[in-house]
Amino acid sequence: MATVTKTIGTTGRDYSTIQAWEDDLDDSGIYSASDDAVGECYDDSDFTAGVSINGGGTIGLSSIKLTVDSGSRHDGTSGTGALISIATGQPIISLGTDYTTVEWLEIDGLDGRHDSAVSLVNSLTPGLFANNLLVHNGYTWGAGSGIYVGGYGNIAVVTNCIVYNWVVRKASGGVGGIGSRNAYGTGHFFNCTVHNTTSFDNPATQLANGFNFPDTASTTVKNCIATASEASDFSVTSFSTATVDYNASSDTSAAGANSIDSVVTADQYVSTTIGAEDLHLKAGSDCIDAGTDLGTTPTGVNIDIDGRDRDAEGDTWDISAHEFVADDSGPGVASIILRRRRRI
Amino acid sequence: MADILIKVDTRGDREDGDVLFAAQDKHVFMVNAQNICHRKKQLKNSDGLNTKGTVAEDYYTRTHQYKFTRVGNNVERLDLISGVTDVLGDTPKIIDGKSQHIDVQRFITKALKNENHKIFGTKNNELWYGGKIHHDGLNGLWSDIENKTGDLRSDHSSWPFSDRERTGWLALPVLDFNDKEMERITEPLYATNDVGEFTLDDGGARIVKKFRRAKIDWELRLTDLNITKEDILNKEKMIDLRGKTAVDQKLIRIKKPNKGGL
Repeated sequence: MATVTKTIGTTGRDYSTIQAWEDDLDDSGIYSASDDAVGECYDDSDFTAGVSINGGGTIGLSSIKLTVDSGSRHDGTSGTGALISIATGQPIISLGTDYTTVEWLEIDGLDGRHDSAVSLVNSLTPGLFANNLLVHNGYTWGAGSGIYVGGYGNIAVVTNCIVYNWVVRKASGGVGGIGSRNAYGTGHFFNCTVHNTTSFDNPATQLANGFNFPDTASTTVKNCIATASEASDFSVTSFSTATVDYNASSDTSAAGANSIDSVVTADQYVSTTIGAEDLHLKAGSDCIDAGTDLGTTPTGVNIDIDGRDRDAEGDTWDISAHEFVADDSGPGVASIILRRRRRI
Repeated sequence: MADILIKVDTRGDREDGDVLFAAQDKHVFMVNAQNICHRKKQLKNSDGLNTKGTVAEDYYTRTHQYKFTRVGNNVERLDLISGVTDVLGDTPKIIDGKSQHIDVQRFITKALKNENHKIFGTKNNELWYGGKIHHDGLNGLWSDIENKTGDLRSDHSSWPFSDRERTGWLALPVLDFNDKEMERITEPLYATNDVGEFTLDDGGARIVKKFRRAKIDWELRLTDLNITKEDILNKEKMIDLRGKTAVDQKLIRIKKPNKGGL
């Protein structure tokens, strides 16, 4: 049992393609049973192809993680870290093997057609994890989302991800910015930010919801914000087992006693300018200190989109992928610094 | 020249001959240009910003949709493709049906906390690039690179496969292909039902039957490529056939979805 880390990039790394790293997960010359396999991406150049992570079955790996080197991670805005950019095709990243995690990548759909940007589809056993992803500018042709959870009995966790400018094209619903269709499964969605989910060409039938969970058996949605969705910011409909609270929306769809409705989008984020989106919270945001403390479970939930450990820092949790800290604010910070911040 | 990476064993779930990875000409030249022009390789100026006029800025100018220039508390957004200019600030403005705003000071302050930031210019005269990434300016970019560095485009016409990739798989040069052909080559094989419709999971998403539906019978190419099967299968031997005659991508066989699917 060992952690086997391989580097992925185009300047002298172990692999130049994520596909070759994934294909090697079944190489017994590299991995042994119960190993933890880690692929560490570098932002030497853009990655130009997607990957289905389904390998490792013949070896019996304990876990698989596709991550980004700490010096190559995005800072929550586009073009600042390791990036996969693809204009057309299948899910850009598809996870289908148990105990697989993808994190810290930026995924740019280049305004092209995809099933989803990130697809977590598995059966029967846990668990698939998507953390700290920055997903934007693509559209879903069929049932899919910017980040999509599906399958039969699947348990999936999505935390601290940002999705914006995602377009839904499927008639009769589609899914949305982040969504799940998982009638017998469980999806946990914590501290995610979704902005500007729209329909491709027919708002009446291509219901563009920010978060959309039409029939997932056990859904938990907490500390999430959706804004400027063409249909509803949140659509959580079918099952009584859904736990939805401590969320925020720019319409009136954020259900739960501790959720916040009708927030003004421009008052929440640094920038919604097309091409320069920055969905970090800004001073005065309604989301600051309005979340619930989730501790450190599931793994990674406490690490915000900037890599800040909310739990270790003793923060009062915000709604959003970003945990606001006063010195993010630039000039004028002294006037608002008293708002922040330690959990007592 | 476009490149593909082919599987030459049956380990794991893929089959011998599967196209694992494909890169068009434009991807090859873009990736090599990105390696050369990366902002991390350029010196920052005395304000800690990226220096204007370097190949790092040339890369953005040639390949990105928008140029943003700070003008006081506003930002001027120039669409480098259409030439349209908009001025945005902290007060939301509806442009193309979208409400847009930007707190410029916070945007820049936040960006500069990242030592690998993409802000150029000088303090209070910052500029940066964003929006859709495109390949239309690649020829111009390579002219910039050749004029400003010792790097020649002709020396960067192959995908930078790693040593491991060149021993574990077969890297082949192929005639360039367009976006549609790229999609054909790299699309997965979806499961279908008895009448040829896609089989969907319980959530309505298409089920992938196999990761790749493209396959090349590389053993039929051995004579053309002047190499033996034993050499290709030798995982201790690094094989790189790029620079040899390119294979016509039309020889890549596409598996048809079988009716009856899984």
